[in-house]
Order: sequence, then C-alpha cells, then structure tokens
Amino acid sequence: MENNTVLKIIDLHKNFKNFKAVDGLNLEVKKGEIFGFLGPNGAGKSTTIRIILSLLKSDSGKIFFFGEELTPNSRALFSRVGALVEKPDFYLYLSAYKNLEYFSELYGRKFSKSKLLEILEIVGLKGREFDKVKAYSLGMKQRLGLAQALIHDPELIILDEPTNGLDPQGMREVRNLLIDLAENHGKTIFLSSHILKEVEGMATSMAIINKGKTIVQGNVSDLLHESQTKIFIETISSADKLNIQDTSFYKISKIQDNRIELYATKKDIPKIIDDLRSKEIDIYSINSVNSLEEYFIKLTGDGHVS
Amino acid sequence: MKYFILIPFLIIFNFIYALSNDGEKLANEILNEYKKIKSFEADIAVKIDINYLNAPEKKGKIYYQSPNNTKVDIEGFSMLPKQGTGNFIAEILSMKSTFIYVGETKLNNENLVHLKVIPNNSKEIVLVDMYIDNSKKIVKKADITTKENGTFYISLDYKNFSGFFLPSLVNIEFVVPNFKMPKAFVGPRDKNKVDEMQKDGETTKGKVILKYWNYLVNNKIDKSIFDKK
Amino acid sequence: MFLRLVKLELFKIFSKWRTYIGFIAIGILVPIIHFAMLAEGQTLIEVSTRVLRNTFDFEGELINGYMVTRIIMQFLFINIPLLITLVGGDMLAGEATSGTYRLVLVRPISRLQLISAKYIAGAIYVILMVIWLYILALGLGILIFGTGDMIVVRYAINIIPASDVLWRYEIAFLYAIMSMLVVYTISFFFSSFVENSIGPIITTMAILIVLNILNLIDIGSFAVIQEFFFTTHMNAWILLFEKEVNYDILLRSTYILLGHVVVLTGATFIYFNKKDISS
Repeated sequence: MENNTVLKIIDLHKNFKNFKAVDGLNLEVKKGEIFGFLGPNGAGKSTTIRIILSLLKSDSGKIFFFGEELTPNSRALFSRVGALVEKPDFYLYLSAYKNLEYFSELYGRKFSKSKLLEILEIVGLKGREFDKVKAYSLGMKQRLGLAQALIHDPELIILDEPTNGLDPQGMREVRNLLIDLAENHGKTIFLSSHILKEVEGMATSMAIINKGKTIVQGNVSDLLHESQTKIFIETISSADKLNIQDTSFYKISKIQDNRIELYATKKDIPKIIDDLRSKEIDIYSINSVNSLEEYFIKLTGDGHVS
Repeated sequence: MKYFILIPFLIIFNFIYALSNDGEKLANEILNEYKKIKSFEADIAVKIDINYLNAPEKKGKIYYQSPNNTKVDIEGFSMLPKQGTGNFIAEILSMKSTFIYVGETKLNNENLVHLKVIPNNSKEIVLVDMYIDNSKKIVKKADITTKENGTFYISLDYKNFSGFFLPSLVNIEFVVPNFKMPKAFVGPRDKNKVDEMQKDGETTKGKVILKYWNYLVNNKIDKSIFDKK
Repeated sequence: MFLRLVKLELFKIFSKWRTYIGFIAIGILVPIIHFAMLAEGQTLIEVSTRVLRNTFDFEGELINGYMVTRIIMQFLFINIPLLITLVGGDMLAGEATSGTYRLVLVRPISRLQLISAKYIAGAIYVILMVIWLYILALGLGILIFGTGDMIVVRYAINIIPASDVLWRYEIAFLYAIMSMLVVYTISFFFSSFVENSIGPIITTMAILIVLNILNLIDIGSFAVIQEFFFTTHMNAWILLFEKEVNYDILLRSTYILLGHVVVLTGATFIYFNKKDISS
C-alpha cells in the first residue's frame, strides 16, 4: 500500500438478512484529496460509511486507515479520524459548548475553553455556544456536527451530507472550509452527498457506487472528461429532416426542430463538428452538459457506461 | 327424727368453717411475715423463655414500697409478666378473700401446706393456690388463676438477705397463644424453620425467670421513682 | 481514559432531570413514613405483639429509629427498583434514541470501554440512591425516634438489643445495594436491545411486578421455582434481623444475586460488542 493512502477498502461485503447492501466494494483515498463518495439511494453509501467507522460489522473484507488494518484492537486510529454520519444528533439537554466539550474529551484529553470556542466560531456558532442544543435548528446542529468532527485536528474527515440543512451562505462557508482544510492543511476529506453540484464544486476524486459495488473511481475532471457527455447542437436549418445516424464516436439521443441531442466524449467534439459539416449540416451553436449529475445519472440510471 | 338429716350438713359446715378459720389464720401468719418488708430495692434480671419469642435477658432494678407500689426500672424495652413480680404474695394475701386450709402436701420432697385463696372482689384474680413452707412462713409455690389471662404457675427460691427470706429466683410458667407467621412473609424461606413454627394446637407453654440479688430491705425509697414512666 | 469515561457518563446521568426523580421520591416518601409511624406506629407494635399482651406488661418504647428503618426498607425496597429502572433502562437505549452513538463510537474508545463505563456510572447512581435512603431512613429516623431495642416479627418475635443492631443495618444496606444492582443490571441488559428507553423500563418493571406476585403463591411445589427468582432473594437482608443469622441462606442468596449480575452483564457486553449500530 502506498504511503499516502489514507483510506483503503478491499472487497467489502455486508448482508442484511436477504439483502446485499455491500457487495465486494473496493476503493482507495489518497492524502489531501477531497473524495466524493456517490451513489443513488440504496447503493450502500451509508452502510459503507458506517462499516468504515465500525458502527456496523462487515461480513468480510478489510479496511485500512493510514496503512494500518482496522481491527477491534486498533481503536487508536480513530484519534486521527473525524466523522459526521447522517444527521447530527447531540444531547439536547446540554449546550453546544458542553456537547463539544464532552465529545472532545472522548479523545482522552481536555481541550481548553478557548480552543472549543474557537472551533465553534469557525463553524459559525459564535454567540450561541451556551444555548441548549434543544433550541438549535438543523443547520446549527450541522455546524456543531462539523465542529465535533474537527476539534481534534484529524487527518481524515469523513462527512455524510455535510451541508444538509444549511442555507446557501452556510453551504458556501462549509465548502470553502473543506477546500481550505484539504489544500492548505493537508487534510483528507471523504464526503458523501446527494447534492452533486456541491461535490462537483469541491471533490478532486470520487467513486460512484451502485448496488454495493464500485462502478467507477478516479480523478473527477479525468472521469468527466473521459465520460460520455450530452451535447446539444443547434442547427441553422431544421435538423429533423436530416438523416443523421449514430457513429462510432457519437450516439443520437434526440432530434427535434433545430436541436440535436447526442452523447459523445468532450474530446470528440471536433470530430462531431467535422462529421456534421461533411453531411452539410450547418451548426449554429454547440454546448455540452459536462456535469457530474449527467455522468452520475448515466452510470446509475440508464446504465450507459463508456 | 327429721332433725337427724341436718347432722351431716352440720358436720360438713363445721368442717368447712374450721378449714376456713385455719386458712385465715395461716394467711395472716404469712402476711405478717411478708409485711415485715415495708420496702426493698434489688437488682433484677428478667429472662423470657417462649419458643417463638427471642428476647435478650434484661437487667435492671426493682423497687417496692408497701402496700402495693412496685416499679421495675429496666433500660429500654422490657416485658414483665402480669403476675409474680414485686411483693405479690403480700398483695394477694392483703386482698379481701376466703382462705381455705386444704392440708399438707409434698412437692419436690418438701413438706408444704396447701392454702386456697379466693379473692372476694378482685377484677383480675379468680383463685390462688399457695404452697407454704410453714416452718419458715414463706410461699414456695403459687398458682394464680386470672379471669382473662390464664393461670400463672409460680415457684420461688429464697435466700437470706439481711435476716429476711426473700426470693432469689422466681420461676413463672404460663400458657400463651401460638404464634402465627405474618401473611406477608418477606424474604427467602427456611423450610425447616417454617415447619418448626407450624405447630399444632392453639397454645404453647412459656416461662419467665426472675432473678433477684443485692437486696436493700426497708430502706428509704424516693417516691418519684414510682412516678417515672 | 477509563476513569474519564466513567466521569463523563456520570456527568450525563446527573444532567438529566429523570435522575433526580428517585432521590426526590425517597426524600418525600421517607418522611411520610416517619410521620405515619409517629401517628400509627404504636398500633403496629400492638398488633405484632398482641399474642403476648394478655400475659405480659410491655414497658419502654419499641418504636425507635431502628424499628422504623426496617419498616421503611421493607416498604421501599419494593418500590425503589422501579425508580432505578428509570435510569438503568435509559443507559444504552437513551444513546440510541438521541442518535449519539454515531458520534460516541467513532472515537478512539472501544465498545467494551464505553459499555463498562456506562455500567459503572449507573451502578454508582444506584449506590448513591441506596446511601441516600440509608441516611434518610436511619439517620433521620434516629433523630426523630431515637434508638432502642428492635422488634422484628417474622418466623418469631425477635427483640434485638439496641447495642446489637447497627452492624446488621450496615450489612443489610450493603446487601440492598447488591439487590438494587440486580434490578439495574436487568434494565441495563434490556436497554442494549432497543432504541427507546420506555421498552426496557416497562419490561423490567413488569418482571419485578410479576415475580413479586408469584412470590406470594404459597404452594409447596412452587417453592422450587421461586428459589430462582431474584425477587425471592432481594429481601434476604431481613435474615440479618433474626436472633441467629442464617449466614448459609444469606450467602446463598448473595451468590444467586451476584450470579444474575454476572450473567446479565456478560450477556449485555457480548451483545453490545457485536451489534450493528443503525441508529
């Protein structure tokens, strides 16, 4: 295993009664990455995260943190990991400060009051530190959730839906915080989110899973560049009268009036233009929907994989 | 001729009259002896022996002031039999009663005189059978039958204290109702003990032993002692 | 680290209002019983000793702090277990309800450490509750009623000299702590299975009530089964107030209660260590 591998999962399996939640999942996360962990509902994301964090027991497979295998005796590894799993729940009868103090002490040491207040300020809870969590909104609890994941300066931060419940301003703050942690402090972020735009804006690497298996993993821009993209072409004359067939480098999705929708990789756009010109089709404009969402839906929705 | 029928009745009547006269004479003799003790104080120990009662032996002081003031001073809680404490012989013999001289008898190899005492007006006592050592004028045994509390069988041992024969050991036997275990029995059962306690019958025998020593006889006793609760 | 965990668990226990219900209840009930004994205690004595009242004159007071404390223990030891389940049943299920396992268990502490710390913290709560009862019942009882010979009616009428009472209470309260720990352990055990504390609280209460009722059945053959009820042995402290203390029975009851604690604690630890945390 390479020295800069922070998290590695090998052939992970988990069954619930007759349902295979995780079916031979593999992935690897390198130091300093913001790793997007994606999949449709029921793909096994939460189950995988819970197994990584030892909340669930796997049936088989191995998990490595920082090159060391995670076993029941290696709890010390968790002192280098911070996590927020699903919705953040706290002791409602305690204040945010007291909650944070409690959770931080579980790392075996007492954090100073100033340190606790500092982290609460970073996540945007200044002025509300001593209010009981009972009075907190979902967004505030989310911020507190981030605070408890970061208080001990972990090397790996595992986040499940970190911007859940936050307003756009809050989302941006969290996004910037995570990017800052990765780029300027060498932290590795492993995050799962259903807001693909968020992941697209932050992640440097990603894995997409479905039905408990990894479908694709790699650098985000490489994957999106290499992937089939929806390309919209506006023609000058009505295109539906034109006889355009699929080729080896593009596949027609829809032709209506002056619009042609087809699937192809971005790097083939010049070839597409040449091909259409050769067929005497005059192009008015050409746009690609080069989004993670499209890529995601393609991989997990209609199953079209390049 | 008809007057001859009266003769047996006359003989029996005379006989009873004679017995009663003898009885009263004896009773007065004994009472006079006991009346010589106008007051006393002594150390007392009370030990109760009933199979279902576990009470520790209690020690204290007993005070008597004639005619009928008796005070037992024991620290904490104590149980004293309703009959047989203090100068009870003098108290019984002082009551207005019919005394019947029954005759001589032998008890525990002792020659004793049996005297029946039938109180005329007592609310408590119905009959007392006394067995008297006539030579020393002391009552060795008294069976006191009460209206509501059964019979107390009392035997006394005496010692010479400063020239007076005073009881050193009083043994009081009686019959008490059997103990019924409380319905809401709490805790683990000891089957042996449970079986032991489920005795047949409604009553069981019991005994109290009173020991007396360190007598001070005819001394001055502060009246306030008898007022103490 | 382990001591820190225990301290943190104690902090959580005593931050919840439900923890104080037991202490407040005892604080109210004990003086009420004292007041009742002031009013009716003499009648109780007379009823207990009525079988001897025709033969003996009773001198001195049998109502004292020692006697009253025993009445309190006999009465409250049926009810205090219900108060203990309020905390015991919440120890593990409460974490699941609040969803905080997801935060607690992703830290460098093992499940075994966590559950041990929780168990011990809860046990400390139980011990404090019994000590509180001890102080109020015996301490306040002696202040109000004084001391004296103690009457105990069970197989027989026992009158224990005042000088011979206190050591019995000391052992009795230690035994009481163990009895209450059994109840706590049972609620703790059930608490590990569910995600809502109501279930383990009600289940433990139901077990207590049912077994206590079954204990009242006085059929010879049933006694064999009753021997294995922990409720039969919870009151074995009463043996300490016999004239001759049957240490064999007391020890046997102690082992049975300890056995319950060991088996149930072990089962809870094993189960919790293996279970999937889905809350």
